[in-house]
Amino acid sequence: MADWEQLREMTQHVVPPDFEALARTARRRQRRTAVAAGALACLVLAGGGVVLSIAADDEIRPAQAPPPSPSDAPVSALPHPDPGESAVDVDAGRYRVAISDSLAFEVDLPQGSTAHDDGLFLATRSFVLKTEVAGRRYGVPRDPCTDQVIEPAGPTVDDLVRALVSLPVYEVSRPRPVELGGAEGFYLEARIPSTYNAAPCERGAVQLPSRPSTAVSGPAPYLGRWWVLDVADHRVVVQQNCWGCTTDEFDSAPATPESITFTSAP
Amino acid sequence: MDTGRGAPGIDRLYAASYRRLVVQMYAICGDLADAEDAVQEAFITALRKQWTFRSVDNPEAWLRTVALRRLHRGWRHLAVVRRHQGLDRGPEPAAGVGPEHVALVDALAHLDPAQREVVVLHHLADLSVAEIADQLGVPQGTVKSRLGRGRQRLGELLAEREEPSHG
Repeated sequence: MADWEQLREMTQHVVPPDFEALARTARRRQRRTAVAAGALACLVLAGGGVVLSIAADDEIRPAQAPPPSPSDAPVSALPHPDPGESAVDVDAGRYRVAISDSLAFEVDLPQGSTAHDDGLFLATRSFVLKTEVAGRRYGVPRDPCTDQVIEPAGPTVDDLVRALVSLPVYEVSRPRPVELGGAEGFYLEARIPSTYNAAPCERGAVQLPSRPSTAVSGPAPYLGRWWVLDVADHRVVVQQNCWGCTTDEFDSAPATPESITFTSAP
Repeated sequence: MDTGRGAPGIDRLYAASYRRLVVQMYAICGDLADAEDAVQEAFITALRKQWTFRSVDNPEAWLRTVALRRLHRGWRHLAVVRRHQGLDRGPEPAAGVGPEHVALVDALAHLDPAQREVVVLHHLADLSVAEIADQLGVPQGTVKSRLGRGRQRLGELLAEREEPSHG
């Protein structure tokens, strides 16, 4: 019989963080939302085709010129999956996906895409796009092959980039400063060649950097594009993951990640 | 147990219910850090929406709903993993949690998510069938059936753990 009292006793071991720290976070987010909403209203009134960018330094500034069509298409919410399903097929178009209570992104998806877990994973025929807030639990596997427990990489963008560059198993490019969707950060390319023997790895697959609760692994060969971004004081990681595809296939895939624009959540 | 009607100061509610909500979310998601994140985000949302929050009848229920919504968003569903070469990993045992707790949480992790949620809300949060139906927005009959199947499966899982191995 389940002993629920033992579980209740766990409350004694939970240490609440300082309430004032939560209050400060709430006030900071409130200010950002207010500023972003005001700026967005101005942009809409001006009628210009300027993409809103929420910068990490509390400034709202226009991003680079928006990517080409179909980014000018109307933005839709992802359709809801059928009851009991976690995935839903989506038509080609531009979609808004919330990644926190205050943040969302918009992205162009090609025909034949599937959204999983409310858009955490967006699978096209060529790759799987994974976009998430990379909080304090986000990190890299101790060893992507043999010890796949995710260790936190540290709280900053730089901490994570350093951990990614040092990852064993993966061949990771040098990080390059980049702007994506109005947010600044770093871009890296990662690769596991087809010659890599993943058989000794846990279940024959190699673990990706992730939050522990959203981690996925895959077989070799692997090609990935990783963006580590600072979006309105949130660290956000965008992964474009492809298992078993060639460089040519990957390069010819639709420029889905490049169509991303970060916004405040509706 | 909920704080009941009225809207106490959020700081007082925090002191009274934070730990309880974290354990409830932990029982549902199996990851203590994710549970803490979900509850902290719920309180941050309450602080940001204080005028709305002050008008709710049951503040702790409101916080629980927000935290649950956050957990739902973050869950990794098996379908994604199966479809895209990922792996099925059970929730990681939280550091510092005793083996008895982990056994129960581990057994809960093997329930259907909808059943697990109902079982935890009933047995750990002490909510009635009607209250669960209200919080999750599903009919009471659905809650009853999920609760019945979830209890049965949980009992089987715990019994399997306790049985000595044969052969």
